[in-house]
Amino acid sequence: MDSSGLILLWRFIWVLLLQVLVFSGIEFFGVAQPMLLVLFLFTYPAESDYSLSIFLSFLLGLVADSFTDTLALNALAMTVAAYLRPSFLRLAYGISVEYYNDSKLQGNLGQHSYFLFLLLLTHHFIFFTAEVFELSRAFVILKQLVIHLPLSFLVGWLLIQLFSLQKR
Amino acid sequence: MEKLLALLINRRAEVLTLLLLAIGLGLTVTAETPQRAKWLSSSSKVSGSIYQLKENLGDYFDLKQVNRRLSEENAQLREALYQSQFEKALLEGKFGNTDTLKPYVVSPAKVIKNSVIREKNLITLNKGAYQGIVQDMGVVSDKGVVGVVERTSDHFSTVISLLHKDLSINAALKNTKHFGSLIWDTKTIDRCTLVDLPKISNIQIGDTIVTGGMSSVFPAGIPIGQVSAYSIPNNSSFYKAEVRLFNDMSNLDQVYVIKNTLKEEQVSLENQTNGF
Repeated sequence: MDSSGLILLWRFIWVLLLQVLVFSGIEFFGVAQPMLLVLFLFTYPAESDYSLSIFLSFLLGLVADSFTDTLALNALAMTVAAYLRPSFLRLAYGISVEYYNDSKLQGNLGQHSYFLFLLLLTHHFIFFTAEVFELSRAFVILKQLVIHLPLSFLVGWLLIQLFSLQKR
Repeated sequence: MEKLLALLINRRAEVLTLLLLAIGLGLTVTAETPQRAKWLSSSSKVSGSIYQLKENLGDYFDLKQVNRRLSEENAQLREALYQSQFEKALLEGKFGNTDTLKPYVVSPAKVIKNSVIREKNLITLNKGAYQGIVQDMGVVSDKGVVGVVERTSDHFSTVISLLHKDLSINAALKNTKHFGSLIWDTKTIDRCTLVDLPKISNIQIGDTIVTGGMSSVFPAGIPIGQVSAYSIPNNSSFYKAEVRLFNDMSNLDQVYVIKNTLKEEQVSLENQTNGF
């Protein structure tokens, strides 16, 4: 395994442990929990293999699900988020991943925040839709989004600030 | 064929996504079935062991609080023991111990993972099949009912929490013994709803709700909560009551798994009787 593979493995593990050992134990006011598996996609090198990112995201979601008894909900949400990631990169940074050959995304805080928000919105929407599994209960999905999304975004944003964007 | 192959290669990301989504949806749909992938639950060996390790680390910081709770619980148990011995002696017209049948066996366990924010919340315990835990055993804490064992691995088990929208528990008014079904409407984590309680029951705010003992899972009389509001839905002959739980479901630690040693006999008899 080359160094980029080791870095990917390391990120896979720390995002997983962060979610299942730290965030899964946090339940703000008994209703909200930071859900930040998408940090893996946020830190995924822009030029790396697209299909691999989809597969690893599915795997990360599935392993996280096995810890949190949310069978395949994270796997589904991460797969969709990984699939849409190139579009989000274009939206947030105005770049085309196919022609991008620098692993460190260059951008300002607003662009990074926008990218993180799009990933989180997709993950949370798919997660809660699959969990509720009834369109007639769309208000429950909306309620869950309103409760969890701001918290996930806030914690994710603070983490990004903490670990410095230059390390990506 | 070559064109199809070329298309699949060119569109491999889309094909892979669809394939993974199909797998994910398949797993989600079968999540409630007995065939549910055992290795993908928090009672599996790997995730259970990691949660156990985390719990062990946390234990050192919680010792003081745990000691206090255990002391309180000991006091309550002793009180209950003395009371029951006294009542039994009165009933038998004598004092002293007699050998009696033990219909329920209680095993202590620790919560190593808990959730309250889902619609179908599950709890993981650090005891499993090796310790005699099997499906459908009741789980209680010192404050009251916690849930029902869903599945076990060798050393861990997962429990359907009271805060699970598909769980229904037979519950009764402590005073009048009228019973109904306790369900969770997913709105708040400190309240459940008691439905199908007969109009004749004369329910009052503040009444204590306990397990009804109509099922083979829980003995009768285990505390659940207190009535905080009630109403009679239109054209109904039954009360619907809001029950404030005694347990803080977001702060569970020491629990007890209850084995009904007469369960098979009870279920077998009920099945035979239903057959007539």
